Amino acid sequence: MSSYRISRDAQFSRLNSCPHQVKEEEARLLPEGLPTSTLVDDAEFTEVTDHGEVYTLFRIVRFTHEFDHHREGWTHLANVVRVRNQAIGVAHLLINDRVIHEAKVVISSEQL
Amino acid sequence: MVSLFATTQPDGPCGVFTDALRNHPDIEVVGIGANGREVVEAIRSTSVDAVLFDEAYADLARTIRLSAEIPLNSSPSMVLAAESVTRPIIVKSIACGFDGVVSITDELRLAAKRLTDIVNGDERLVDEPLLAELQYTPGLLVRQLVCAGPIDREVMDLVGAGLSDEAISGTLKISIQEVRNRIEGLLTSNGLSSRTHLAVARASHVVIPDFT
Repeated sequence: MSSYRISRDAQFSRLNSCPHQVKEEEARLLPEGLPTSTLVDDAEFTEVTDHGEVYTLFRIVRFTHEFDHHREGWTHLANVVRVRNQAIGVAHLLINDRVIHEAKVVISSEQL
Repeated sequence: MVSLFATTQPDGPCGVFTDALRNHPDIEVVGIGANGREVVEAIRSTSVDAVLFDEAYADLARTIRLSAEIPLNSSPSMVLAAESVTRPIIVKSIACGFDGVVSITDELRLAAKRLTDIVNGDERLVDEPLLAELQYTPGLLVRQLVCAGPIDREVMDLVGAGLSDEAISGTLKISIQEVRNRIEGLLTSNGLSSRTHLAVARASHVVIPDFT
């Protein structure tokens, strides 16, 4: 059985990284009847795609989950509808001070 | 018979082409414009079927459309005279609000026929097969942009000035969410497909108030 000596720098690095490692990603289910106005001032938001060129308007129908320490930084998950060319989908949202700063939407079904 | 008004330098290639058209039985050259006012008068004249623009004056044509508030696809037809009809020329022509393009290096008979077809509506730039695969907004540079209110106008101005969404948010003291929602509204209400289209349309919206 081989043994390894861990350098002082490496030990220090491990100690420092510990607090981050123990913060595990957690998704909490939100109550079904939670009004959108509880979390945001405006339920309509625009997803920006294609390198900042294409703007698509969505409306939040219902917040489903709240994240703690999401690895991509998202704070909430919501069911959404596309306002023009109707479609439904799920949005990862970054909400700060009741404002949606970033959004990533996955369309699950759209009207033909 | 097509009544043609030309906007060109008499001794330039387009001027020579216009001169040659005088001898064609289907074309009547009714005048050559030396300044913007003459061109506006020609465009507003009921006796002119087509106004021919030298390629160098393409931007003048779109400024005239904007300043004199001449709608797209109205009479007379606005036609660009180019060395040859290439894809970049077609794209530029559509953006600048032209109804058609003729090549000044073509055989005179063919150029005159194309000119006649443009005036009769048988030859439309938007039907060019070269453009089919491009997601292009016709008349982009001659759009009278619409906006719902003063904040939308400010957002549009700042997009045209090249500011990012974050910078606009900071400048107008409105949330990033509101900025993006307003830009989306501007794109939709103006039939534009991308933020760059909005920026270009706004930045190129140069109106000369004394044109009429």
